[in-house]
Amino acid sequence: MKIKSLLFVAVAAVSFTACSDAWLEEYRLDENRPADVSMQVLLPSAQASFGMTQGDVLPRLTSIFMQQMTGTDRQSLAHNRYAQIGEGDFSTPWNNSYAGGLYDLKLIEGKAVELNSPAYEGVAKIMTAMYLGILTDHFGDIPYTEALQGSDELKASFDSQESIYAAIQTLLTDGKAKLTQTSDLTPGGDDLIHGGDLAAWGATADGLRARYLNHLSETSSYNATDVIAACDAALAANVYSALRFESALNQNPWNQFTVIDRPGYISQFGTMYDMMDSASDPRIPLYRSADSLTMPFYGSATSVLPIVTPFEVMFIKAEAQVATDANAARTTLEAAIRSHMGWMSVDTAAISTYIAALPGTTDLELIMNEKYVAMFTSSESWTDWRRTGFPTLSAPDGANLASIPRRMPYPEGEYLYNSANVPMPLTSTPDEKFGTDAAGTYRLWWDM
Amino acid sequence: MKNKFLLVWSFLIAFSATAFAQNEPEKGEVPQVPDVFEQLEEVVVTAGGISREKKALGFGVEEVKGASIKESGESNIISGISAKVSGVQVTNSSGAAGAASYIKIRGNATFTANDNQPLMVVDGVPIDNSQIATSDLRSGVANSNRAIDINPDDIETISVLKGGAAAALYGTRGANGVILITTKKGAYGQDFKVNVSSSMEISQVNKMPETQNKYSQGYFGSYAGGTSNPFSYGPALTDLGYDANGAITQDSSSVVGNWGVNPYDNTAFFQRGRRLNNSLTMSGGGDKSSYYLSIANLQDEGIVPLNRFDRTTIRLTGTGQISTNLKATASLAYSNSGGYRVQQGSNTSGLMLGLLRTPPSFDNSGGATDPTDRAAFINADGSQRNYRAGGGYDNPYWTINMNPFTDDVNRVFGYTKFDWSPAERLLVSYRYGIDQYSDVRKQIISINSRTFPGGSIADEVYTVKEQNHDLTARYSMDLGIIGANFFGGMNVNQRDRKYVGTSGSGLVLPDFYNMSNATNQQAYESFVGRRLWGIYGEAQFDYEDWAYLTLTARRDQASTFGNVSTPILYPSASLSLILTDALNIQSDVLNFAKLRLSSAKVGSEPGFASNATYFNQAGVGSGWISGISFPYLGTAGFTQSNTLGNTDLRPEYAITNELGAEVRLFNNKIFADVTLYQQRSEDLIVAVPVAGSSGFTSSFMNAGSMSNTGVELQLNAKLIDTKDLTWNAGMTFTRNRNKVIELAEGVDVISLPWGFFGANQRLVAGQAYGTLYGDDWARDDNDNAYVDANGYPVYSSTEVVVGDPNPDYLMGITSNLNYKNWSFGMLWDIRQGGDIWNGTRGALYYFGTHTDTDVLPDGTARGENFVWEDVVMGNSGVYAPGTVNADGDDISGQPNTTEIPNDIESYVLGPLSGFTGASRPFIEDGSWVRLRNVSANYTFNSDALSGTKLKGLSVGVSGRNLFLSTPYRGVDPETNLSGATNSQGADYFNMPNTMGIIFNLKANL
Repeated sequence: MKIKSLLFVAVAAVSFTACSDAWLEEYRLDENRPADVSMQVLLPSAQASFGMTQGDVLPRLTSIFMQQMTGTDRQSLAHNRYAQIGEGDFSTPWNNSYAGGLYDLKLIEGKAVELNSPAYEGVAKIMTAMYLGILTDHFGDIPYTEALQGSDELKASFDSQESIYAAIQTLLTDGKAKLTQTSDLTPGGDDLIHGGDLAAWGATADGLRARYLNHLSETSSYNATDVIAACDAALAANVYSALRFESALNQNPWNQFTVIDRPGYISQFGTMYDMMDSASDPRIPLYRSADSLTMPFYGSATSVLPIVTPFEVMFIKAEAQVATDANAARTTLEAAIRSHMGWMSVDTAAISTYIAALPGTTDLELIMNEKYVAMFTSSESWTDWRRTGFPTLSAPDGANLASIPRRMPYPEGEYLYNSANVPMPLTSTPDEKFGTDAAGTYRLWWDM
Repeated sequence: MKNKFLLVWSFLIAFSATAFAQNEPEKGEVPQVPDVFEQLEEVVVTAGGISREKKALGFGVEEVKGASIKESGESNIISGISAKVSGVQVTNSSGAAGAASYIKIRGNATFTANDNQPLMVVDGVPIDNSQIATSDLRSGVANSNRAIDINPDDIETISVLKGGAAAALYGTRGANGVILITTKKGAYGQDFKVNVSSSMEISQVNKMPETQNKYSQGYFGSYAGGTSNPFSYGPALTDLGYDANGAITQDSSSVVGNWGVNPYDNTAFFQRGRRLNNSLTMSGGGDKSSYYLSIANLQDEGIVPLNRFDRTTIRLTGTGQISTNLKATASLAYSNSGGYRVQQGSNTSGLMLGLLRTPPSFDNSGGATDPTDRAAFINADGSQRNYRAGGGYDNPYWTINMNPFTDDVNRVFGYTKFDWSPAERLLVSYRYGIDQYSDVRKQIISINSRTFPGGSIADEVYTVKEQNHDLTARYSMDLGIIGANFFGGMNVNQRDRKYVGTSGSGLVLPDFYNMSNATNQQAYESFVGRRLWGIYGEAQFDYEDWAYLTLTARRDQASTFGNVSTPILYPSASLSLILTDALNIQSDVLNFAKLRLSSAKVGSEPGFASNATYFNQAGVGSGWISGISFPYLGTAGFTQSNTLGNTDLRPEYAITNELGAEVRLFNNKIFADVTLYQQRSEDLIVAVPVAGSSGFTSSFMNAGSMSNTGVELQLNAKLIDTKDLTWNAGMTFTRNRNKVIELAEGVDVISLPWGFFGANQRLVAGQAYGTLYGDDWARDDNDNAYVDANGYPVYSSTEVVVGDPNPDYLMGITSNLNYKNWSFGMLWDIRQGGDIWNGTRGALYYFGTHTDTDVLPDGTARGENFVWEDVVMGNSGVYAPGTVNADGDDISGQPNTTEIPNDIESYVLGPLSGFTGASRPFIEDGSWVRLRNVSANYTFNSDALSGTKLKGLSVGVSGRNLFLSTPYRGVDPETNLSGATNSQGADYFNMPNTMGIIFNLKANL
């Protein structure tokens, strides 16, 4: 009997052991998360991440650099003096882009090919160009050809900014071409920017083409005719690319910063407002609240975050025209201002009054000054200033750097885990890291 | 399918049990009642719940008696161990009622697993001791670690298995040591006993950051009361007056009467805490059965009004002889615990944040004396009444009343065990243990609260369940001069944690906190499950009662590997040599000498879900704003996880070598035990950070190694031993040195969670675990800080090592003196070293409420000038390269002599606050000497109780934390922002700690 009972115990143990791997296997995977997902859920994720790349850390810094707003508390206060900005501050936009949107877009491209859906492929390529554009204009040389390889390449090399610019144009051209091909699956409600309107994506690609061709104004490859042609293509349709937000959750990032999470850090005054004041600009009450703490038009909960707009393209066109045809440039400039103010629902008479009061001479400075005001909240103003020097700005007293920053330091993660490839040593001086050293050692390729 | 094996398993066991019961009667095992007071025969509980003679052990085990845990007056048994066991570091995260306590044995054996806390085992059954957080651990409320559900009255002993050899039988869960708790039980033939005990503690805040009471709200000398101005750099209170309406004014034409207004002491907010603990236990036994029953209730009202933690526990343990060779034991404990918790930390609704930033010219209480009086915190128009006119931070009274967090934990844990002795010297046992609880929480942030002006509600339910089966066999042999014991078994363990939660925001109706009041609702769920099974064996040999060799081995398989067939192997060997017996030494001086040697290899499995790469629900934020989370604009969004899973993870291993010696001297009057150990952890599993450009930010790898070396010392002396008077003194000493040897190739830094931008805990090769990194000043090659022409240090945003939160050593000193019916006890707790980032001080400089902004330690008053001094070099720094003085001379490299004002220019516009400059000046030494416990008890003679039904009666009074000496300039340095986590040494508006007086009464019937 005893032997029998002992045997039962042994059998119990052995029978379990025999099945133990299967028993363990049932608990191996995380059932809370899918192992694969469709393009329809990746696209909105990539678009939301883009909203944060374009609307959170980077434009707040550049808007302060460009004196379009002023830091008035805590770290933002230091940012006025270009202080307390370190490598760590750029991890968020960098990782949101590479490990967030760009990786998701890469997956979409792969899946689109597999599923014979060039419409998704085209949108993914155009959005990839958007990301590369904003990243390279802040950081210069960035990883691209070896990036996004996961464990196959954890230490991606950095591509020159010149080649990134070439890649942007290729992506936009190829992306736009894909849009018109027959596609098994096409984006719809999952496309938070254009709601699946592929023609609008085509116009967006043209607008971006114009923007990035125009950024080359100081380089030998600049061609005003190409810029104007891209502008005309984009302006053929009146397309606003923008992200929308919600009233209670997922509000506009400027609203989240100035109203919800960091009220008082940034206030609405500075050189731009001084310029607007002196021009009696009718947009002032739309730009800032009476207490200068909030941004009624650009920073309400549901304010859209503009990505590419007809008025931006018109300003680009005016800039491309001015060297050869000041009259045409004047017409385009006025149209751009009307377009911007009209978009903001400024009273038509007030628009006309404003335009009538503009200086008579149409030159680059006038165009850039007007664009500076109209491109409020976008880091394009910083790029424009670096290219053209307009508007005329000077660094504040007690600034931590020799002059206004001309580039951003690379993010901490690349220094820590990919340092051999980062094209600027971590030990560079602050002025070198911000491109403000006299030698301009690490100034961007197009910033000559 | 999932439960099929368990079912088969249970069936077989039940069947076997029936079969056993039919056996012929044989000699059964008599429950052991260890006579722990007879020192040489001292028995301790070791792995597998087996009691062994202490002299046979070749590794370090220390035991704490249940009575000593109870005497500490702590509601959390972890805190009750503080300073009593060498090799153990306990950190109570704050004085909030129900706050978590962190325990770490012999340093950090792993990079991240289990937060390096030991496995908790109650009567052989592993139990959950997690600290589940609702919010980010740097903000939110102080949650409990779940060991708090154990009633200290139920504890007979706590055995601390410290090294690898002691814990090797526990396999993957024992890598950080094991806390073995043995509960009280009845005994066969024991008379019915009833114990009643009752205690009451009155507590108060023991230490607060120092704040100034001279300067009003405002800046640059202008008074800004009633505005959103955050600062206390306004005029002196003596330069203000009251107007006709009693409002403070700076305007001489409005002042009525004399100049000068009274400062408000906003720290008067804190109240006396009160802790009531009542318990009743009953035990007894018949010929073939015994039982133990307890019921206890704890009511802990904190020093923060409304904050409370309550616990009711019931435990029933019974043993019965089914037949002479089969014994059944069942034990079931139920506990209900929970409380009302208060928002803290880095959180605009955080209590200390709002409280300490308040200028002395504003009265948070608004004159109210009842902390629930709404007049203190709500204006007539319904808006919040606080010092920044409704902006800024929540009024502390608002926080406690309007932002309650409640939790309700119902927990059942226990086991059934069968012990069957089919043959002499053979004992087969089976034990099924279960630990299951639900934790139901509600967090309310009311409308107009600063963290969520629109209001929010979170409803959460966590269900945690752990099931554990152990089937073991023991066999002993006696081969004459050699004795042998064999022990082997099989362990099957399953842990499930389910979570469902709903959060709502955009509340419509005030004071109504049902989810139906939220205009936005989001639902969450998760399931974390782990399975593990293993076999283990132990062989003990003894030779002539002076040489003992113990060999153990365990093999585990776990569901968390990419390949579940991956085995984890844990061998250990230990040797105990009783030198006095071996060499036949019989001396009055050297009574006993023993040498211990052991070596073990302990492994750990990967964490849940590290074996594959998944897609996460999309959400993108930053440290600045909450960002975007899906669903967004009505769409679902998923994104590839930023962490690369790894199907090829191997177990990580820690190899420990330990050498120890014990001696008893002078007729056993002195006992000394010294242990030296060395541990090397290899192949540590961690999410190694990778460059974002790869498309991922981290990747799970077996990467890195780490070492711990340490010395432990115990010393006990019977200083006086007479009939009426005995005096015992003891000491424990702990010194552990941790060093991260290497991380993954090409990786220099791994950041631990819950770091702060001011100071964050990291793993860095060559540094100790969790070393604090933060910003520093720019420095020359000799480390002298650079100072600019204005006399201010130059900020360098590059983060460097700023402190080490690991203490240099810990000491506990005990004294127990008994004189006739009196007994007096003392426990001193000494911690040397252990840096803490005093982020609170850094912030209060900015706001101008810190006492230093009134008068600096060197005597410089507000508005006066001083030459800045660097805390690192102890000098005033040197002028930065290129610095030119007013005369146009280059003064680079010369010592700084430029004076700066002790005023807003330096702290808000200048870099001297924690918000505007480096964090290094705010790293402080967290050393302490504290009188953790002092007690006096009187036990009545039995003749004094004759005529009553009482068999015993004692009354006593004790003090907890009555004395504290520390260089730390904030709250009590026994504190940690993120509670019981790997990231130690951070203080950012942490809740203060407490001291208390405890009155207690114990009676036996």
